[in-house]
Amino acid sequence: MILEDLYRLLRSGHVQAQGVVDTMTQPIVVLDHNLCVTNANNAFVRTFAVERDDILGESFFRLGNGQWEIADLRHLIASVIPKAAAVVGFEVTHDFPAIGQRTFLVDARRLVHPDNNSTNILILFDDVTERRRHDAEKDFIVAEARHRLRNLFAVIRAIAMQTKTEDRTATEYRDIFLGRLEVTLRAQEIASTGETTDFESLLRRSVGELGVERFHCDGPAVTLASSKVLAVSMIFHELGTNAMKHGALSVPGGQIHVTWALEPGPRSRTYLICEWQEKTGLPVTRPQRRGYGTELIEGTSAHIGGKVELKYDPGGLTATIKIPV
Amino acid sequence: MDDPAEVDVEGRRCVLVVEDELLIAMELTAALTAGGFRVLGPAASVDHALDLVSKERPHAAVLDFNLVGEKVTPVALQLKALGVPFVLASAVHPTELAVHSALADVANIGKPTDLKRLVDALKAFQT
Repeated sequence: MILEDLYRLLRSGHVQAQGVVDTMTQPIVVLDHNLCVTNANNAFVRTFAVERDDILGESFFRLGNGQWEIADLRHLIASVIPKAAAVVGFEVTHDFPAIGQRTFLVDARRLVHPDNNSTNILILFDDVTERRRHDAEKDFIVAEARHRLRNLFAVIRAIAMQTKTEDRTATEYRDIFLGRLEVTLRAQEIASTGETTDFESLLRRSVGELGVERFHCDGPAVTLASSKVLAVSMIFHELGTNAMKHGALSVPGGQIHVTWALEPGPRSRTYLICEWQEKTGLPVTRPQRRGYGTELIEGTSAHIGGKVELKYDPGGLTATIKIPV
Repeated sequence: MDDPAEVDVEGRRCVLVVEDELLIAMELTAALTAGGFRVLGPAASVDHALDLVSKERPHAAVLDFNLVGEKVTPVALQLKALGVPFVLASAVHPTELAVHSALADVANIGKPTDLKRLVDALKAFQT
């Protein structure tokens, strides 16, 4: 009678313990004092792709052709545990033959049986491989964002520095600066998508709303790589601004005609040849000072391997732009 | 290409500029010109830069690290082979530079670039 009660007690205790272990979503393995497996939960079997029958009674470090023979882990179990009773969050990265490289945080605890002093070691694995990968990715994105921010700041400073202050009021300076800044930011937004852009729509956008009725475009469909968007936007922004201030759009009845074509060029590259022609009906004089506008147009074209010729014909400016596409 | 680089008729030394960002390239060019140098480039890509140095050997160079879709490392290697001293002007993190042996011991003036520091660093190469 007493024996039967004791048996029941032991049995229900065992069932309860097994239930707890199996319910855990993290892999758990229990070792005896010889470091042989006495128990492993479903999560362990699943995570490490092993058969329960193959591992019970086997030495832990010989399991699956010694895939657990990890120096760090052996050190933890063989020397730390006997002294420390418990170790929490010990990180182990290892390349497992069946499941690949994984990083685990290992918790280990020594259980001493009160009656005979025999020990069990309970080992719990927390797979942090994904978490670590995610953290690394996040760090990369943060670093990249910081890099871009610095770059953007450098660009803004470059615009401010190169927008000349001579012979300009503060208001004029500010307007020119902001105009260029906006073109740059809009172009970077387009370029950051990495998609190609239609030349004509970029051309029209660069010139803006003003004078839309006096602006005539004619040419074949041309797509621009994202790396060319800023340069092309800047060239036409400057031409458009100049036209508004000094050229065809500064006088009533002035017109701008833009025509373009694709031509084969050296090194089997295709060139976009574009002609920007202003018709003011008034005589045009070459500007006295080579302002940033002209420098910017020429520098921009050179930057993408093209060139620009500006001709101040009587009756209007003609710009011939040649850029590789 | 073994000839030492030559100063031009105005006595200016030649600096190669490699920078893909249009406006920054123009800013560097303006600063170096004002600092008494003649600018080779600016080159926006590795190919363009290698092309330029194959035609003319500069006295010194300033390089951005990240060019559109590529790293500047091949240019750095070529400059080292030619014995041309150079500095970096890049926002790249030092740990990323450290993995490229051609760049590990090169000064990075940073970005946004302190233009006075850049000009001073390039002038220091002359002595």
